[in-house]
This record gives sequence, structure tokens and C-alpha cells, in this order.
Amino acid sequence: MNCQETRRRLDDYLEGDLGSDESRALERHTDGCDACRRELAETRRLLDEALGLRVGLQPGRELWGDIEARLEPRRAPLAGAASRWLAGLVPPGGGLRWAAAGATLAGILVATLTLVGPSSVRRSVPNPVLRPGATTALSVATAGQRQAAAAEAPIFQVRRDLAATLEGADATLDPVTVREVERNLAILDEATGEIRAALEDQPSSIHLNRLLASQYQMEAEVLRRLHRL
Amino acid sequence: MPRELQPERSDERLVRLAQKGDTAAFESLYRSNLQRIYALAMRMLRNPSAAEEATQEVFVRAWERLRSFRRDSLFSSWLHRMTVNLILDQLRARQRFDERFVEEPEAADLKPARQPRHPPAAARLDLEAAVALLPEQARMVFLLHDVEGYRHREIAGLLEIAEGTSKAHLHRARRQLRKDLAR
Ligand SMILES: [Zn+2]
Repeated sequence: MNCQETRRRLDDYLEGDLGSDESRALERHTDGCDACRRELAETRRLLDEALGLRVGLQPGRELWGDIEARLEPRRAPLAGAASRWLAGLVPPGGGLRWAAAGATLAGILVATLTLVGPSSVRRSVPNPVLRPGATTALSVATAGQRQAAAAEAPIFQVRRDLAATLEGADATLDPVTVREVERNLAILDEATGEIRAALEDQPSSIHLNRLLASQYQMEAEVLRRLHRL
Repeated sequence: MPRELQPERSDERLVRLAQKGDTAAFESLYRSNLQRIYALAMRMLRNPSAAEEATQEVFVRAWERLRSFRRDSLFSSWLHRMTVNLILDQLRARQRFDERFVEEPEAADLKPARQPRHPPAAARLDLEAAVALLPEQARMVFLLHDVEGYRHREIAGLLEIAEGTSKAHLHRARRQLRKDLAR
């Protein structure tokens, strides 16, 4: 390998892109050629210094205030209410309390929960009387929203029946159980409301629509568990 | 993804919180990434106020897109790439990219930073100044390749040039820098 070739291949050599034969040929040349050896050493030193430029620089002024002022407030669909709801789903000893809901509640639920199976996803008529907000989700017909709305429909029925059960059962059910169920439903409502509010800001957000749909699925799941107990 | 970036475990937790809307967590992410992002912007744009604006824009954009961030990648790398893309977009949008290629840098733009946290070593100051003097594309390629660790293939994609062109720019940049730093 001569000087010209060596200079031309130096970058590839440093990049590790030369084959072993070529690398050895280049090294043989630089071993015997002062000029090329110096070129290689200088380039290596430059690369070392270049890595030194990776250190950060401090801007001349504080930028956070302006940035913060431009951050759109973000609803936190699963941060607050939903995580509390999930926590409430399996509370310490909660299984026992759910169990106390007893046969009355389960008896009512058994009829409605059958609506929540996979086949019911095709149902697409939510109950606008119960939840006027549902029409908002339906007015923009993204796939995610249709999915969410479809998942929503049977839930409304379940909720209505559950609410009616709780109302009518107040006298007979363990008050602790009733409060527990009501508390969980309230948290659940809050979480759903947060997702819905976020959806109004970003109606086409696939992420939010999926969240909403999964929220309903989780809701169905908790009601199924309630039913099983 | 740039080579040699260490995973930042603490970022993961902060990203999760910020994705849920926690601005305090996002501010922490901002603080820990600010200097690298600003330095990159500064070296790409060579102008402190333009670099500050770009930095702000990057973090605002990061907030808006945080939900799309995949947690299996590094937040710093994600932010980094967003910065490069944003600045290159800006330069293209102003349709000055090609003109800048031959534009003489303004003397005022050569100062590396107004208030570096640690006073840079003398050699680095020299290199900063020499880098700022490079023609636009050679500078971009040098910064992305030799400073930030991008591969030619990635740089070619970012700059919308051929891989061979990226290599040629790097070769030219290195030769020029060695000449300018000759001592
Ligand atoms: Zn030689």
C-alpha cells in the first residue's frame, strides 16, 4: 500500500471498515512511513478531542420557564383515578369484601354480564340517556372510537343494573360492601371521565381511544369478578 | 442511535411519570438532558439565541410526542435525534442549507457558548472554533459522526445525502481541522 492509498483508506481503517488484509497492509505502511504514521496519529488525536466536545454547554439563560409555559396541560388518564381504581380492584383483603356482595348482586349481574362477551363488541348503540357524553365519542368515527363506543354499550346496561341493585339493596346488603362497590364505581367513573376529557382535546388519538376501550374492558372484567364472587 | 451512550435508568421512571402528565418529572428530564441538547444545537447552529430557541422547541416537541416514545429506547437518544431532525428541518425550511454551505461564519457566532459550566480545556476551545469554521455540511457530518457517534448510513439519511458524500464531507472536515489545529 502506498501513501496515496493509505490516506484514502485511513477513515475506513479508523471506522473499522477495512478487511483484515487491508488493515494489515495499511499498518505495514504506516509502520514504515513517518508522514502517514503522523497523519494517523493526528487523526486519532482529533477523534479523541472530538469526543471531548460531547460535554454539554450551559445556555446563557434559563430556558425552562418559557418551555413550561408552552407545555399543554395533559390529562393523566391512568395516572390518578385509574391506578387508584386498579388498586381498588384488588384491595388488601378486598376479595372478601367483594365476596360479601353476595347472591343478590350476582343474581342481577348474571343477566347483564353476558352482554359483555366478545360477541357484544359488534353492538354499537350506546345509551345516550345514561351517558350523553357518549355521543361525543361517536361523532368522530375513528376505528378506535367505534371500538370504544361498542365496548361502552353493554357496560352502560351493566352499570345501570348494578346501580339499581345497589340502590335497592342498600337495606339488605352489608353497608361496607355497598360503600366499597360505590367507591370503586366512583373511581372508575372518574378515570373514564379523565380519558374522555383527554379525548376531547385529541379526538383522533389512537392511544386515548385504545385506553378508553381497554378501560371498558377492565370495567367489564371487574364486574365479571364481582359476579363470580 | 449514537454509540457510547450509557443507559440512564433514572430517566425511565421520569419518562413514565412525564408520559402521565407530570411536568416536574419532565423538568428533571429537561435538566439532565439540557446541556447535551443545547451543545448540539449550538454547534449545529453556531448562534446562541438560535440554539436556545431550538432547545426550547425540542423540549416542547418532546412533551407533545412523549406518548409515542418507546420505552425500550433511550430517552436521551430519542431527544437527540429529535434535535438533529428539528434543526435540519429548520435549516431546510429556511432554504438556506445550500447557501450556508459556502457562507462565511460570522465572527460573533464562533464563540462556543456564553457560560459553559466547566471552563473548557484550551484544546477544546480551539477545536470548537475550528469546527465552527467548517463549511456547513462538513461541520454537520463531523458533529454527527465524530462527536455524536452516528454512522454514515444514519447521517446520509438525516442529511439526505449519499453515504459516500457523507464520507467525503467527513474526510474534508478532518483534514481541515487537522490543518487548523496544527501545532
Ligand atoms: Zn506514506
